Amino acid sequence: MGVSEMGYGSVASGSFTVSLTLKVEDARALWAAAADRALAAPGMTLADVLDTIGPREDPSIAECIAMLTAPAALPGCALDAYEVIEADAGLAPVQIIQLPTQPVLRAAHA
Amino acid sequence: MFPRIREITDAFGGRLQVSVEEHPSGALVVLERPDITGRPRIMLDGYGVDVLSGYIMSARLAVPHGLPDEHIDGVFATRFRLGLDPCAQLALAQSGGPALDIPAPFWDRLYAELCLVAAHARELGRRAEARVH
Repeated sequence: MGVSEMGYGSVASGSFTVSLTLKVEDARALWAAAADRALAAPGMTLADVLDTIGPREDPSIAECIAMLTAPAALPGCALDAYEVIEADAGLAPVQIIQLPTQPVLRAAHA
Repeated sequence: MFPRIREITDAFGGRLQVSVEEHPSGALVVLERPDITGRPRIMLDGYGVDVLSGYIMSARLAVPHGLPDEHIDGVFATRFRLGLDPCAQLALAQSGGPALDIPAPFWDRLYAELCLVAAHARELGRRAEARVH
C-alpha cells in the first residue's frame, strides 16, 4: 500500500481500535526489558517488579508485554481500554488421551 | 501443557480420568470416574499422589489379603481403603463427597500414570515456590 492510498478520515472525533500482534521469541529478553522499564519507575523495588511480571525463570508474559507496550497518553485522545490477550488462550480444547488397560499382557505373564 | 488429562479405560467401559493442573500451592491432581453416576472425584496434591502410588503397589502385593487403611491430612485430606468383596478395588474418600472406587484392572495403568503425574506435580511445585521467593 502506498502512502497515497492511505485515507485520512474527515471525522473530528470517533472511536478507533489500534491492534498490535506479536510473537514472543525470547521470553528472558522480554522479561529483562520489562524489568528495566519497571525499575525505572519512582519507588519501585525488585520485589515489586517480581510481583508484577514474575521471576526471570517463569515470567508472566502478558504482564511483561503490557509493561512495554502500554501506550502513553495521546494528545487529544481519551484511552478507553487496553488489554493484552494471548492468542487462543483458554480456547483450545483440552485433549484427553485414552489409555486402555492391557488384559492380554497380564494373561501372557500369568 | 496443563491441564494434562489422561483417561484409563477397561474392556467393560470403565473409565478413570487423571488430570494434573497448576494450583497456587503447586499442582492439583484430580481423579474422576465419568462412567459412574454423579461422577465421583477426588482431588490430591503431590503428597496424596505419592501415597496413592504406594498404596496401589501395596494393595497389589496384599491381594487376596487385606491392607490397613491409609490416611493423609491437609487441604486434600483423604482415606485410602482396600476392599476385597465382591472384587478387589480401592476406595478413596474425602469429606463431603462420595468415595471414588478404583477396581484392580485399573491399578497397573494408574500406577504408571501416577509416576508421570508425580513428576509434573513436583515441577509445578518448584515453579510455585520460585514465584513466591
